[in-house]
Amino acid sequence: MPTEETFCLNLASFDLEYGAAPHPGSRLFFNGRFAVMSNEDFIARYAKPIAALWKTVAARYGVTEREFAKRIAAILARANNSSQLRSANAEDSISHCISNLRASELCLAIACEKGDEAAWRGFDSEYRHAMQGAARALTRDEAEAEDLIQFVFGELYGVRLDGDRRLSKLAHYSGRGSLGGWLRAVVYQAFIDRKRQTSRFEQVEEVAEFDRLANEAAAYVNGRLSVAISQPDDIEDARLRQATEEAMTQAFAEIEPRDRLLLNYYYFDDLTLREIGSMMGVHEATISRWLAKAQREIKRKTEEILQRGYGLRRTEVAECLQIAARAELDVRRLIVDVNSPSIERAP
Amino acid sequence: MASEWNKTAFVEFETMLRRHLRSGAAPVAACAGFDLDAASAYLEGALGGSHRAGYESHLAGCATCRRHLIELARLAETAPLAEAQPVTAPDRIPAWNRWKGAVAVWFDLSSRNFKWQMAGAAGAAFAILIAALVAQSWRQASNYADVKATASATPPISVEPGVQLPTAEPSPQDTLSVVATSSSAAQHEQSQVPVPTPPVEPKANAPDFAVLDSGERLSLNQPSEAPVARPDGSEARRDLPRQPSDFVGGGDSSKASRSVLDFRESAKEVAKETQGLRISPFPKDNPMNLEPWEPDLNHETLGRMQAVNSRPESRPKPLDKPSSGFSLGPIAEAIKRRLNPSRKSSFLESERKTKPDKREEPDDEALKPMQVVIRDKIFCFEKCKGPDLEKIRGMWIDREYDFEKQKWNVWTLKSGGDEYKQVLAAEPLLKEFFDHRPILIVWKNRIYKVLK
Repeated sequence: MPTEETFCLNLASFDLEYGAAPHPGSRLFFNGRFAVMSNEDFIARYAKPIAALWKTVAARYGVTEREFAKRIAAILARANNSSQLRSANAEDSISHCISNLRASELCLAIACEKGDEAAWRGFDSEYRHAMQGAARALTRDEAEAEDLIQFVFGELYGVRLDGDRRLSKLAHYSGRGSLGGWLRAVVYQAFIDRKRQTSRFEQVEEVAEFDRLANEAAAYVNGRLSVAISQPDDIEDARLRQATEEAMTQAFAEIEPRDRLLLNYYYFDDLTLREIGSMMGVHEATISRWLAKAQREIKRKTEEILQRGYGLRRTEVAECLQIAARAELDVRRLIVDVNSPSIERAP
Repeated sequence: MASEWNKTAFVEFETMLRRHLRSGAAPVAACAGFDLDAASAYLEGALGGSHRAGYESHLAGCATCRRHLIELARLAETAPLAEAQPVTAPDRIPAWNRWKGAVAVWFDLSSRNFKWQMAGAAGAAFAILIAALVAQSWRQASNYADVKATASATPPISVEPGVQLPTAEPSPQDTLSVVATSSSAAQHEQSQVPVPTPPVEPKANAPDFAVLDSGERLSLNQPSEAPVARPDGSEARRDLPRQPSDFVGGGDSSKASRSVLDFRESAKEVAKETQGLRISPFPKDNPMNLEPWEPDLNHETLGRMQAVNSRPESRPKPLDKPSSGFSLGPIAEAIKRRLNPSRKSSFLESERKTKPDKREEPDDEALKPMQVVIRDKIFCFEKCKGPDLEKIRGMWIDREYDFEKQKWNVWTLKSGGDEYKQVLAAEPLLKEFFDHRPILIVWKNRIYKVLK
């Protein structure tokens, strides 16, 4: 009985570029070693869970079990293994992943990719309405919404050709989440792309960008060129501030990812506890607890690093933080809070 | 070292934290682009175990992805997916749904063969109609034994029904000639008891000429109180249009028989008045119209159709779940009491209904909804449920208002409010309409809803 391999999906593995061919094989972390397995071997090895999944498909739309299996292999083949994320718990086992896929929706996606008419009719009847709802919520204009939907349907059907093969966006549906939710995300992405008139989601360092804007704006408070950021009183303070910044950066790297995420949600994105809760699927009160813990944790870590790394004594640490904060406060008073990604940047 | 956590110190720290995060000092992990597949899976909680942890750790570092995820979550809240019916295995789809699907294909408006499908549907409707008459006559035969003796001499139910019907009907003649032929064939079968109600049940395929077989066995033991005695009296006439809807609507046989019984009762009464065997299944002053999606989508129609769970795929404009509560409960009650079925009773889009569908005739004066004309715009008075669902308020709705399409673009104005005054200042012509509040008016590509 072979041991269950574990693997993790790399986030960057599902790229959005059209024409991305799946890797010829899966690179799996198998029994403590990396191993390469071709798609055929993969299908053979996991025939049972694939077959079990295949049975649950209600409407097959002319898709063969073979095509289904190949698609599953392709989905899992796009996964790279990341050793630092490797975990041995059963949840990550491949069989488990396979069994959690949404078979019917995946089958529909495959059939639509093939161009099956009955599948498209079924797809249309099931999902067009929801997509229209999403488009309307985004555009607030009927004509634009309809235009957007047309565009998305074109993308899904595949209007670009690669040789004689149509490139359909449905190839990127992995079957983990529901097809409806995925479609909504596609509509959203199309909307954003069209709105910004760029071909893909931007990777700009938005944070730094906003910061620059903020600094520029700060210079013109109340229409007058005012004194810029107040200078620290003396060099020592500046040094302390610098040290705190660095310590904080390091502390951030050391705390749990979830805590990091929570702090970002709360302090960067300015979400309410309820919103964070809905994003993470937990209750608001739980978030409150988690967040408080994260706050305590980051503070503790920062102080620890200041003490450890900079040789400050306890009292000095407290003082250091105070000074750093005070300097921050002065700075903040002058800076217009423009750190909101919803700001339209000037063309 | 136990750091003392006190509030003021922490507030300062918080400020620093915020600043630190926003300055972009947090390391941005290499992001190959917003992974919408992972994002949508994550939001649904479908990302398992370490995948989730990995994605969260990426999110913690990547502000862009986070932003998009937040927008996506908000979108998901604003535009929730209607809970799709779980796709069942083929063998578990009830016949009802399969039949629905088949009928939907028939009435696919975008189909090229629409005309012929309509024609086919018309033929089927007539076939079912004939079957209804058959069933009725069967019941008559079984319950009125004494009549039989006298009836045997009477001429059979004439072919007239089959012949007369098409006069107002653009369907192809062949279908009906088949009906006619079979009816004439029936003339020779005097003692046959017509088929029982089950064949009257809708069949899952195209114009079912099997149903006509029952027509062949039309019982001719009918007195002058022929079921086909079509009166000018309204009662029976009203009943009959219901029947196709009941049958085609997939009602159970008990419903069919119930309506047939009603029909028989009324037929009995009216037969005494008239002698003709003219069938006019629909009110004679209305041309036969078999397009259930007649774009006479005035508001009440839409509201009522909304209450019925209509199928998206068979409609050009799928309807949302009834959210604004334009239910026509009170009106439906009134209609039911008067037994006034509509010619356009949605006999295809209606689902299994517990009560027979009755839609009022637009030109039935007694039941016409209140209407008012202001400056060439027609408004119908709609009763709608208030937010507490207890009070029933009413509102004048512009007939141009397309509920499905536009309900999200409504400007609600409270009379006397600022917005109200602004709008009136901008468009003084609206004053006349607003005075008639509560009213909903479509004006210059905007929809204004004025409350009392």
